[in-house]
Amino acid sequence: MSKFLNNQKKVIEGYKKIGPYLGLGTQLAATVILMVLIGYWLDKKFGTSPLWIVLFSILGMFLAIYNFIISVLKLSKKEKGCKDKLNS
Amino acid sequence: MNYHEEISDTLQSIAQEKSGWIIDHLVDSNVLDFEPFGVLKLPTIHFELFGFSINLPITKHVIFLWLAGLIVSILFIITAKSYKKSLVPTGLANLIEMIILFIRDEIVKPTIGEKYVNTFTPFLGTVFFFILTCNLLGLLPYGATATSNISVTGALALISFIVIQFAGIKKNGIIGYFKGLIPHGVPVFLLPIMFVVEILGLFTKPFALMIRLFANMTAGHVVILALLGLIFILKTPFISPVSILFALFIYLLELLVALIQAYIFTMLSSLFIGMAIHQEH
Repeated sequence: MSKFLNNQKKVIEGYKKIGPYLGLGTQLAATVILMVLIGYWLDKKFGTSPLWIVLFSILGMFLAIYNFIISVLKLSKKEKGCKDKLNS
Repeated sequence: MNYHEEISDTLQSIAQEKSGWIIDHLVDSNVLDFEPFGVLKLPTIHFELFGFSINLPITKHVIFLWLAGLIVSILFIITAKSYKKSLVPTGLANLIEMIILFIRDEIVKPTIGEKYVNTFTPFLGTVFFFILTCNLLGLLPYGATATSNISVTGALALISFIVIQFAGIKKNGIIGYFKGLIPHGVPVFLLPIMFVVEILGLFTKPFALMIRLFANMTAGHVVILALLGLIFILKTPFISPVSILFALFIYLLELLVALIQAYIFTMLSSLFIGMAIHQEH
């Protein structure tokens, strides 16, 4: 039983660490899809067929990847901080 | 063109014959079937609301949701009554106290924090027992898994989404909460549009919860039914020992999955509540 509880503590610790990154993949996909849909809707409204959908899909891809990279960079910074603390 | 349609019709009828019954077992329907004894037709409620006429069918999954709610209520009333007799729990009360203590001390305390233990344990405990009961009801003969319906898991995820946002807003204030969503070091001209992306990020987590529970509960049942269906598709009795043994094995695995999925849903909801409250990490 105590072994099981110890394991449970490790699982919770692990999940706490990966917590902020659990929705990262879905967020990347959802951002692109939302932006493309906004572009499609604008095109339908103003009748300027390929203009907005192209602009918004490029913007969506840029934003999705930018957000992804910022989150991952924060992770590596945090790890570095932890290591520095351990070394000093 | 005509030829094409004929082929697709034939293919469809074959598919209906061979695998339609698996889907029939999984999807929601208006009848409760007790196979050799006949079927029980369920009523549909019609009423008018603000000029819209609404059809509210009482389906198989609704019945099993009610049943799960009833079972959980009765279980907890019995437990509460047993504490009136003596404070030392015995039997059923002992088991339930152990599970609730596990949820409080091993899930809520490390993820949300000691201060909020009494605020969120009731909600997370209810979610755990309700999902567990729904999952296990689907494994009974003539049972249906309410959690293998995406609307049910969607509603559960919606409830935990609301709790997550309220917890975050109550701790940090509305402005503070939404400010804390945006990561540091973003250029100013990107701020409004990054805000939209982060708002989207709020919805993806409960969405993943919904899909996870739904897919896990559906997949196990499909595998069991497909293994049993092998007997009828190959039309030989010699396959039956193999397929029954495998189906039994998957059934035991399903018992484990029912418990694990209830635990995962509770644990991830608790983790997301903790993340909304302690934003700086």
